[in-house]
Amino acid sequence: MGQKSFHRLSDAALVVAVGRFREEALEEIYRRHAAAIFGLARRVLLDETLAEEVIQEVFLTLWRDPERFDPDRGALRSYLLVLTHRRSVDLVRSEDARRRREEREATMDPGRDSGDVEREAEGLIASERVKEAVSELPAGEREAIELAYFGGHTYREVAGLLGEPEGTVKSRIRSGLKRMRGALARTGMVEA
Amino acid sequence: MSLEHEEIEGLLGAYALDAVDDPDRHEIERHLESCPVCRTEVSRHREVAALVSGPEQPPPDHVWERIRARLEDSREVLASAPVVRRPRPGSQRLAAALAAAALVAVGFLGWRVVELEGRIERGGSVLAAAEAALADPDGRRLVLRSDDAALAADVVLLPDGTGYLFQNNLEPLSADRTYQLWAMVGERPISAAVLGSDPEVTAFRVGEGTGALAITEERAGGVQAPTSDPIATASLS
Repeated sequence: MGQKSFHRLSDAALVVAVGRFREEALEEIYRRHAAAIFGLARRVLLDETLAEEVIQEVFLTLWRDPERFDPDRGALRSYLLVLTHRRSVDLVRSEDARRRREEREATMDPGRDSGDVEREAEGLIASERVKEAVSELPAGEREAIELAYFGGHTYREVAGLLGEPEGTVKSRIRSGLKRMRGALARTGMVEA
Repeated sequence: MSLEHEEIEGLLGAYALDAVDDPDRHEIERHLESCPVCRTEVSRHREVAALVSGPEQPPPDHVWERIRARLEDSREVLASAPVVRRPRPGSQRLAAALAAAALVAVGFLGWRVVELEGRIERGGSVLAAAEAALADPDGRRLVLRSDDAALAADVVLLPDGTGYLFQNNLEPLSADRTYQLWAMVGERPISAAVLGSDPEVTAFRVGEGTGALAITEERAGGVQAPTSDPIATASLS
């Protein structure tokens, strides 16, 4: 199979080809999705080198165990983002990463006192439609999701950071996600 | 420490964002194996998270080169594409057994042959796992049967409780109905899987103390407890 034909394959078909050890299929998946997952890893880790390591691990995982992806359960990009996010959060919570972040945060602009604040400056914004969906969130929901998803904090830690009860944080995350889904559905980005 | 369904529901948003502690995570994942409603919610949250995952940024060029170099290390070159999925590395016995398993699947209830072959091509992970389970020497084959023995559903069960439904001659239902598989723990039915209106190869899990399996017909999406007598059953004892 020439390389051109891989461009035409669906994501699910590419994963089948990866299962047959077709390196070009993995490369096509990389072309399509690496930027999305690298962007996420960078935002969570605040560290390009660590983000690069995570991306490599995600693609090697896909190469070794392509059968873990079930096309009936969701899109390949969502699956890769889940792998990326989990791995990034594991690193955030590990000793070494914590030390590195503290060092990094110590050298940051004195006006910023934590990596979380830096991330907030970037915000949840990716595109105009996403921007609108996010702007519809009450501040409490947005903050909770921001700290949990991009900060890599557990909901208990988020509760501590925000000075809110754990139950409140849990439900804000859940209702924030539902609210964003509603907003994104209205613009046609997801099904309702 | 076991969480109630409501408590688990409340955690689904945090879980979808990887924002729960490990003990909670294990509880939730155990629950998700048998709760399609919660699985759907998690999947929906993840879709939203994927969309707000931030601006894309292409990685530096050397990242792909490094991946490629590591692929070379684990490479197994195949001259042509196999019909059956590759076996797990280091398992020659399994490779031979998988070939045998394909023959078993083909021989039983022959009208399923064409569909099975088509499904192999889709790279379905469940089919590959079911094939592996069939070949597993510790796997246990069971047949759920109706009282008059006219209906049958073939199942393989592994010692850790994972199982796969594969061959069956259950009548396809209308889209608003579904078959549902139950694990009987004593008299208590615990939902093991929602099988759909025309069951294909399906993975499920049963817990300790399961004495029997049963299939009922329910409304689409599945229910918390069976609403009618089973269509087919099999005893594990």
